[in-house]
Amino acid sequence: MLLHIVRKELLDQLLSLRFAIACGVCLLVFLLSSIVLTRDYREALSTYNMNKVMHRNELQQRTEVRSLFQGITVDRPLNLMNTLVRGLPKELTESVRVQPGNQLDFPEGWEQNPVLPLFPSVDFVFIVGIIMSLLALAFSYDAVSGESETGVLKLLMSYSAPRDIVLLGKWLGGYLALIAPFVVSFVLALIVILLFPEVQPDAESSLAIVALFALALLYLAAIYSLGLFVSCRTHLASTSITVLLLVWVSLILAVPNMAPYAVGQFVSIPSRDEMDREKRAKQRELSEKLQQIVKQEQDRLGTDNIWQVESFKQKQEEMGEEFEAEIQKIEDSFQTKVDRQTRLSGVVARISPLTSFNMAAFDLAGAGIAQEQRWVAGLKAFSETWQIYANEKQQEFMESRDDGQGNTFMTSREGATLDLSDAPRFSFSFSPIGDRLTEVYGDLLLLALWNVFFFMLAYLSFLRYPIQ
Amino acid sequence: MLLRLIRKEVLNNILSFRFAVTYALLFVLVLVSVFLMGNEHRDRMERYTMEEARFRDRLEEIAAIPDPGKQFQEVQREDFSGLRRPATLAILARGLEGSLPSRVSSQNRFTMRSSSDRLGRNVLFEVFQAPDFAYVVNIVISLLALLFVFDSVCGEKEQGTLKLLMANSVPRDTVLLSKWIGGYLSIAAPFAVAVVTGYLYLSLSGAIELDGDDAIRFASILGVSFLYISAFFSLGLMISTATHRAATALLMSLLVWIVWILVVPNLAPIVARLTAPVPPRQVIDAEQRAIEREAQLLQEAIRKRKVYGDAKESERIQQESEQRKRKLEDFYKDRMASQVSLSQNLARLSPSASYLFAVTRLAGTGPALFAHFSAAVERFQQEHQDLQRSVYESGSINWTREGPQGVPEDWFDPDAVPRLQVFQEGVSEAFDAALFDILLLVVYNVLFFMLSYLFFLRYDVT
Repeated sequence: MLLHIVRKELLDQLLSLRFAIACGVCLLVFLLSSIVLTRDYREALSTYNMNKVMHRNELQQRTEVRSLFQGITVDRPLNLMNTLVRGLPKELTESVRVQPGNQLDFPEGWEQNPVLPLFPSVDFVFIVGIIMSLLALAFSYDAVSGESETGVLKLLMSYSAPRDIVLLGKWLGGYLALIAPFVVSFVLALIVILLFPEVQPDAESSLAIVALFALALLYLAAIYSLGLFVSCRTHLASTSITVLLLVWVSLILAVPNMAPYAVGQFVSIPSRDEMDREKRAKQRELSEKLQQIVKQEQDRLGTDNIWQVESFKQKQEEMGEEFEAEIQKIEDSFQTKVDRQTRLSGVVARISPLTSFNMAAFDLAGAGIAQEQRWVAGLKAFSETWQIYANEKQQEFMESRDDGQGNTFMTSREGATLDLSDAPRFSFSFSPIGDRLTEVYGDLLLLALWNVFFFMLAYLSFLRYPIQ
Repeated sequence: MLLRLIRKEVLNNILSFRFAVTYALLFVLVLVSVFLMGNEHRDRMERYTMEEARFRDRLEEIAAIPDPGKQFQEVQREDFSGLRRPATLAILARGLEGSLPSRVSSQNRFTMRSSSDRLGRNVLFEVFQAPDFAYVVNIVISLLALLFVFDSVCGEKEQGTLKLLMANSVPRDTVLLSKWIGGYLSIAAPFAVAVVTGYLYLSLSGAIELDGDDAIRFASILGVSFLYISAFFSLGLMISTATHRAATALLMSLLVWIVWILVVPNLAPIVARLTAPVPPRQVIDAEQRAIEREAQLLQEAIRKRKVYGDAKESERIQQESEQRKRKLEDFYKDRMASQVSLSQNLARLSPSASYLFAVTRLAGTGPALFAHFSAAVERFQQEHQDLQRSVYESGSINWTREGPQGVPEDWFDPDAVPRLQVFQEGVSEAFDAALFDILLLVVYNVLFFMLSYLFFLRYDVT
């Protein structure tokens, strides 16, 4: 019986206008988006290669050893998943100046086409999250209420089919009809992307694409179940679609956008300037403290030149560590506040399944906040490696410049070259798919829960649905 | 007859379930948006005023230093940042307000962010668009307008009321006009109520104080919003007159809405970026550095030659390199300008983009703000350089162990320290600039209404 109902529902949908519209919209949007984003990726790839060569040349042209302490510019490798998901980074490429001592300079790119920030980009997340979710409602709004209006439901229920089977049949048939155009368009979009010779997916990205696809199916199922639920609560298709559109507007267009601002009202973060000022004040306070101690020591030891005294040196080192810890404390307390606001707004925004879908898709594509953290951590590690290298090079240089009588020349002589062929190379890899799946586990669970919740509600409502 | 028909239409709408929910949603969304963005603006403004006060205090502190040498040293050490005043009407249309820096350095062209800057932010603000008034009207109310009107003709036909209506001696144009006016009033009136309440909240809470100019801008933004809603209303009416079943009309409306509001304007900037590419800023900078380096090498070689008259040649090389750098900069700016205009024109294929461009222009937060801001930053940094140069040129400064000597007594004037002043267009200029987009919206209105009239003339009412 179930198969019969599924078949009937599927045929019903396939022959409808909305199916034709869904096919047209999906194909158009997926293909356009994949062509545009992959071409953008190709452009970014050539920029990345150019930048890499430029930065390597810049390094090779250096002749003075002390220039190594000014750091090196490194480029973020391109993420293949950006052909599907744009994610958090504004640009596909990024060059960062890495200096010893964990100092990283990220250029703030406000100089770009000013029309770009006005519009969101049409990527996989946008298409599925907004467009497909609206189509999912268009597929489900009249599944029950529409049939009740036309009288088909009465006929159907006159058979010896239990209500759960009918509802399940409706769910399966409608959902299959909804995802059919999605699957076809997605596969076609992937083929288009693969036709570009620059795109060479590895096993990790292939798995990420599969995971992204499964995530989209789960999200669409949740929205479809929502539509079915509202359809079971209403008796007119027009009421059902009105309610659903209003719910959709609130859940998809309003809640995720408003949540961070609303949370910001209650959990505020001090501005970065304030934090910097606090840090500077602390630094001033600490340096005054150091001066006092120096004076005390000078008085105690009865000499001005205390910098070579072992006990003072040790004390100075200890104080340096203490200072650093104090400054770090300010930084950490700021970061804690930011994390708290982010977490809370994430919780509130997750009232909408779109937030769960978006955040999970970003993380699966390696374009979310976890990846940002990994990127910064990678750069910091490289900064340390670079510092060690610069120190070694300097040591080597000083030894070679030593004239045997204890004098060294810090500056290079005319025509001197610096052999930097052994310079450490920066390499960054996106997190493995296993880690990404662990990160999105919570959101996947939440989406699954939405599915169960809406379907249960639909079932409960359908059990008591009057069929006249 | 027209009045009676309008009355019937309005009553029909007001008594419907759809009206009640739409009204509630519209009211809540507009109010929440104005509340959130108003508070956000107030915070930004407070921050700006505080920074500005701190800046003034710092200037006075420096002015109070008695020794001009120390004063000069202090000024050199200080990086006087330029502060950008938040635009008041960003509450309504945020535009580029969030993507341009609120502070720029007086020395470096690029603002650098440290790793803690990079991670110390709530990313959720970047994932979704800001829910400002323009967003609510652009995306949400356009959809609600379509939802309101999709069955106004075909729905009545399905129910059979259209047949009854047309049995009276009433011309079709009057019927259509009454449907338009009645329907539009039913959505515009609750919208107007929501907007007025929002405005009252803003002015009572002190989030904004609208002076003459801003009040005109505010009113113009509202006017454009009404025009935009009416364009979508007419579009919905056209679809309704082109179809015979409410369900079909609804699906067609959704299709048009998706393509026009969600796809076309959002794809336009990236398509423009691909068709009119601009070399990345880093490449231009690298090339400029290369030109500089080349000039330096040449000058060094000339210096080593030590021949009389070489100073002139060295100067010529310097000028030539400056010229080449300027040319490169102009090339970059030209390419960027053509890309920007292409992306704007492509996006204008959708009324949504026209609306957004018009309201952001009127609010002073549109793409024009970017140009004004870039120019202001350039001017600000140049003025700072000039200030320092003028001190160097004013007397003979000697650098000694105690700091610079020979700095003129009254060289420092706190009021003369350059500020970042972003040019703000006057209302009439902004309106002139937005006129093209407003006209486009008018054209859409007329076009859709004409088409619905044409379709309705041939509509089979039975």
